[in-house]
Amino acid sequence: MNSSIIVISAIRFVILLLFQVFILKSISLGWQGNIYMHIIVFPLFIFLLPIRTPRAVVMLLAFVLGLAVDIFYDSPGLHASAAVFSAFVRPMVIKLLEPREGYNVNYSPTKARLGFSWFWRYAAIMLLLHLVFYFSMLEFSPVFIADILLKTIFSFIASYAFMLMIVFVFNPLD
Amino acid sequence: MGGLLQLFIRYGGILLFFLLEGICFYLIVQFNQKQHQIYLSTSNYFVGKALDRYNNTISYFSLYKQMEALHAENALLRDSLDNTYYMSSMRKDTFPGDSLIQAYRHIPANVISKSMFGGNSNSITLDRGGMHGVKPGQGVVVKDGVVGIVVDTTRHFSRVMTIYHRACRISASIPKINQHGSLVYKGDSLTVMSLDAIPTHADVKTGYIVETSGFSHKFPKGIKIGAVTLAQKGSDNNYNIRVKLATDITSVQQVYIIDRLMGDEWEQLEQRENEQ
Repeated sequence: MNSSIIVISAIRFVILLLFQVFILKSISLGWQGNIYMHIIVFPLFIFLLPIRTPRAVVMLLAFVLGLAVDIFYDSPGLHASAAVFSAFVRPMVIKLLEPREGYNVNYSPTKARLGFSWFWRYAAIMLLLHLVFYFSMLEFSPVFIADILLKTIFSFIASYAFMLMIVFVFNPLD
Repeated sequence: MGGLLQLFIRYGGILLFFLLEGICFYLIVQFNQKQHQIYLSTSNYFVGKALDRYNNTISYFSLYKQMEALHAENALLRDSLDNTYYMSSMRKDTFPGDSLIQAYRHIPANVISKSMFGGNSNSITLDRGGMHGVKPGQGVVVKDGVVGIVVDTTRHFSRVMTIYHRACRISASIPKINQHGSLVYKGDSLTVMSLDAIPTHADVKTGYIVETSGFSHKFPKGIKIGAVTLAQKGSDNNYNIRVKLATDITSVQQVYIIDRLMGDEWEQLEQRENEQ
């Protein structure tokens, strides 16, 4: 991994963290104190790490990022557990979506490298898994399965839109 | 060591995943109010279930002890039945508490040895003896049944002649017609006894309840024995009555020995008459 990717990732880490906790946190919608639409884009950092990044490193980074988000959301462990889960399933999703000619392991799984038709499916699957896990941890009981699904659907729509917007605006190569 | 390292290389990702999720889980249930409550109530539920199951399993080992305790308690409860008291007051319209004198006491006992019933011996051995207040001549009962009469005791054990014994005659009555006779075993099935000496002028029907009469000091009045199943008029002005026993005497394990607290007085009185 060359140093430029490390620098890019570090900057992305900070920017996404700040964007998540200062802007997106305050525009989440809901009623009766029950927030149904959480806009969550910080997992984009995990999604965009280079393919060859060791799984353990991805998980540790996700854990740190999740804990940092949790500190601002005042929900210790919640985002961290979802982020670690995303990092854990990331290699499987990448394997699942592998194109016929395979990956260039030095690349990051970005829209610019692998094309939009690949990226939108990758982001959708990863985000969905992340949100399902996050809301399961948030509700913490299978009794609230309806809430879990509703929140996942609403949040998925909003978060996915934001995520694609960011990708289209900045269109990162790595 | 090399194996362990290989294991870690192969499964390191999964191990790290579970380690990190474990940390997250701990943080979630420790610092989030709602999740903390759910965690507590859920774990209480499962821990309670587990403890319940554990107790169910473990309680089998103390069943014998509990049975002993219940047995002793039943004896105490039987002691407070109506028919175990002697009423020294003449008045019946009030309840003179201090005029009730305990006339019978129950000693809980276990059957520790049985011989074949219906044969020659017809005796059982109980694990209570002289040191518990068991004396020859005392009656032995179970719920809804009479077992027999104590014939011999040692310090710790006692020998009981059961109702199947040739020499055993138990005073029994049919309360519906106020007649009494003696219950003997005449070699039928072990659940059927004969009731002798009921005169033919009485109207005995099948289904009538047979109880202890209370005319012998061995048993208090009103212990259920069984029901009449057959009543034939015999040649000697007496009925041939068959009584179906309410309880299977051959299978009992716990019995109550009846200690007659006023029996000596009673016996003395009857003996004095014989001497004259």
